[in-house]
Amino acid sequence: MKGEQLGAFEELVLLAVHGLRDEAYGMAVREVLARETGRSVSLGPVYTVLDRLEGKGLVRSTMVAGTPTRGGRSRRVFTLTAAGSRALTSLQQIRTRLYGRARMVPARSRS
Amino acid sequence: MSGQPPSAWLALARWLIAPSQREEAEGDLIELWARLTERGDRAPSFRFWQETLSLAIASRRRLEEDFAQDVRHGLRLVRRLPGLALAACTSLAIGVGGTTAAFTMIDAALLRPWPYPDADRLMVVSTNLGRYFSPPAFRRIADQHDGLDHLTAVQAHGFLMNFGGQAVLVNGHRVSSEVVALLGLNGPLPPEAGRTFIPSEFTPAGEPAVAISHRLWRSRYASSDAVIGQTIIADGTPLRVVGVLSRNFDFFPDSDLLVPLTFSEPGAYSEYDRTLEVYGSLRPGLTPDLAALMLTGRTRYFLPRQVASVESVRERVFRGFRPTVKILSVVSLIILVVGCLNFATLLTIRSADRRQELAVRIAMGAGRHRIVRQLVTEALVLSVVGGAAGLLLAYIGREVLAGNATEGMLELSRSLEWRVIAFATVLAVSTGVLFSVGPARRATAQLDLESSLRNMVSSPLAGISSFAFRGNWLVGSIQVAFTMVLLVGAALLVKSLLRIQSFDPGYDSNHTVTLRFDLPRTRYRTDADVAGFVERLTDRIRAIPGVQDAGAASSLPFSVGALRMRHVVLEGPIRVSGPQEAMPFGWQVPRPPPPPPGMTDMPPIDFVLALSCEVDPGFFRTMRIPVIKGRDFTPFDTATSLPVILINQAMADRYWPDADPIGRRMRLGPLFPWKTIVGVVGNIRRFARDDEIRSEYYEPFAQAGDQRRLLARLGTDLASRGSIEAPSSPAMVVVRSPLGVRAVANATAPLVRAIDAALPIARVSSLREALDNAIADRRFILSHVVGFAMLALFLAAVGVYAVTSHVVRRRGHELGIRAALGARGAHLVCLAMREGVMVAVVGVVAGGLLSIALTPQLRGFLYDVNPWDWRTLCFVALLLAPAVICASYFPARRAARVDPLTALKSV
Repeated sequence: MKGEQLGAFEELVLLAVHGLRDEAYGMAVREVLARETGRSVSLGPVYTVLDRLEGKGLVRSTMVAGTPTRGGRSRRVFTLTAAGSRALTSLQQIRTRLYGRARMVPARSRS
Repeated sequence: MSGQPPSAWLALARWLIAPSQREEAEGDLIELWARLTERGDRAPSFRFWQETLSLAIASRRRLEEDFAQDVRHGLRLVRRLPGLALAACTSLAIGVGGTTAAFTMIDAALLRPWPYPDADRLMVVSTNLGRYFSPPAFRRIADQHDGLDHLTAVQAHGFLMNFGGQAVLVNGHRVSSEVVALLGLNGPLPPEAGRTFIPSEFTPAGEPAVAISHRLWRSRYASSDAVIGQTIIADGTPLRVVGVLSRNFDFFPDSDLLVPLTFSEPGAYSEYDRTLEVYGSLRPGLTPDLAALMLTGRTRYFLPRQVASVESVRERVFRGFRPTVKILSVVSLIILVVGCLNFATLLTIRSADRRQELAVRIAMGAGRHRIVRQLVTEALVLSVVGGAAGLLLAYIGREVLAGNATEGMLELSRSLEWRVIAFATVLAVSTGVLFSVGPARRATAQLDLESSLRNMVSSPLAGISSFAFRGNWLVGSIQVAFTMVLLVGAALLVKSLLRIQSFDPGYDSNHTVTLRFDLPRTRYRTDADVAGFVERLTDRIRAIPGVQDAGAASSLPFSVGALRMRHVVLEGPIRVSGPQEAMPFGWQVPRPPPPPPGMTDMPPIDFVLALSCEVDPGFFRTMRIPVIKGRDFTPFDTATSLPVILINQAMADRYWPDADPIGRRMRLGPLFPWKTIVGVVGNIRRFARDDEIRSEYYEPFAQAGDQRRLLARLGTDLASRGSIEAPSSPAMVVVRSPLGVRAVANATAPLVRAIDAALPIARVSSLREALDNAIADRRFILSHVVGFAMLALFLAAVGVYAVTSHVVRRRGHELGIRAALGARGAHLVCLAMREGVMVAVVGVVAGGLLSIALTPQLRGFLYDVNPWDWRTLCFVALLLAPAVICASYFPARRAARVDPLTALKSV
């Protein structure tokens, strides 16, 4: 089950978790994604993807005591696992290579 | 506007989101609200609900994934502990299967809707004189009825037909014109082919028509449309086939022909010809009782003191099934309870065995809620498997049941419908959930994390919460108690069946074959014709090698035939001993029948009631009914000789308790000839084994038919009286031979053909079969109760076995220490069995009390056996207790044999 291909949205969520460090919980991830992509992102899909990533072993979660802004409700904070950061690294390398080649070979005009 | 969203919104959101994600999602929603209001969003409510819905959907999806995971986990466990899973599934399968099989019958008998229009308003009319009406009586009701619509007269009749040169008797019904509307032959049950009857076909001038059943169409006419419009010959009359009845039409079971009943001029029929059943549709707003009152009171349709009753047809059908259905439901409910308790016990044991696994999971962060859900899902997996197996069992069981069912039941129990499947599914799943939530909650609630985890590395010695096991012992006792009830019921039924089977009906039913003939009146007009046929046939049958004797009668015990209840006048002073004799089938006739047409003002006469039957000279000899006094009939008792009769012992005792009846005379009424009693024969049972013996007289075939002779003298020509009169005289031939039913029937068929090529043998059977059929409903109940009792015994034993082995396993260590300290094996076995014995004792005592409360329900099915038969109770107790104790003995012995070293090493 583990080490499968990551979808585009999964990759974004994973990056957001990585970027948020120890503050990656559902609402925070949603905010980051909404801000960075400029699209409206719903909480449901975010959690679905986070659960899926956890299932793949790329992130792990722990329950953390709530803050006053959350009405004292506890939250689940996600952190990247070693496998998660490996997946991100390899994705980044693939992208870099592909972007590099894209620059070397000029795109032909479509007829 | 800042702070928290409205609390009602939060509550609704909480309800929408799956429990395991509630806390987290709620926090997110509060935070979202704070941010939205802070940012000054224009539609915070819209955003709030948008997010709530997306969270709800996502959480449900996660729930589904968890569910799939639990199912997989459950299946893995089934693989790991196949014995326990098998036992749990089997328990549930037996419970569900038994109940479903019983439900199939109940569904068929009580729940399935009838296809006829206003089926609940379909009524049958009867009176205290019986169910049958004469044509004039029917005409009087039909002409001026006001409580019932579509009054229809129905006459059952066997039609003689010829298929491929072979004479065949086809069952059918003659019906009057309103049948089309009453049973919806044009509406809800349209014909498969052709059309239904048209009004002109119900008049004497119309063309004789017939509608054939779908069954006959398929079997005899290859479902061909060509048959429509063809002419078929039934009873020597050409009838045009106008249509094929709907395949769903089974208002007249086993009926293949529907023929219009045509009434010719009103004066042509006799009040005596009571052969018509009357059905009608109750007018809206009336009750059956009211309709009956209107029939009886407001108009004068009936004879003096004749009271009509109107009963729902459905109700009448149900009434016959009700006692059986009641017992069936109780029995199947018991088996379901026993099965479910077993299931629950096994689940409790399993979750107890998994305490450490569960403790680890909780310690690793799994919520108790999640664990309960997992246990329930696993139970659900087991219950679905068990339910499927149960459905299979029900399917097989139904075949077995149908094989044992009485004919009516057989008819009804032949289909396993979606309703039944739905019933089994709901039963299995709800059982699975209901009986697993308890054990699962208990298992997690009582889970003492610390001790359970400690036990993992130390020993299973500590941490047994005795409560759970005390519960199991209680459940065990309940199971044993219910099993006891079933066993007691089964034993009582077996006992009464044995009594019935060893019962003397007054004749020898072994090695007999009975052949029924319906001699059509068109060809057998006079008594001499009938007597001649019977004499020729019995003479030839006697000549068959292997046949010891043969005789004939118009009616045989426990079978249909022309047995009549008659009012007779006895000559001279008689002293009646005993009360007024009751009519069979529960109806009473306080007064003699009405005078025949044209005769009125008969002087008052003291009539007595007696059954009458026509026999031939070989009958009593063949039946081995003893002639106690006087003589038997001889071939010399003919139509021209002195009219003679034989009476039974009961009649002799009743009317001539201390005088000799031989030489006394009796007759049917003032205009009838006197008949001399020449002998007294032994009593026989005619209707039921436990029936009272009634007065009965026999007359020779050759001398019977006084009534017809009288009517002939009065100028009514019987043979040309239209189609209403009972169109055939039954003759039942009984053959005593060890050859068997088939051989005798095969040997007889050519003889019958030689005498009358157009006459079929209507039915071949035996006296023994007729007797057995009479107790078929008892045997049906018996096989059911015995079968279920055995299953319950098996389940209870499995339950006790499982609990004992589990407890012994948990106490293996303790037993090991005791063995090391010098306890003897026998002592250890006793120690381990203590609870098992307790279960047996408590269960048997409780079961005994429960039986005393419940077995009187069986009274209708018992014969000569007291429902509180203490011997049966003791017998069952002595059977059950050792069986239960045995079930705990085997695991106990195994535990006691454990090597002390092994047991101690496991510390």
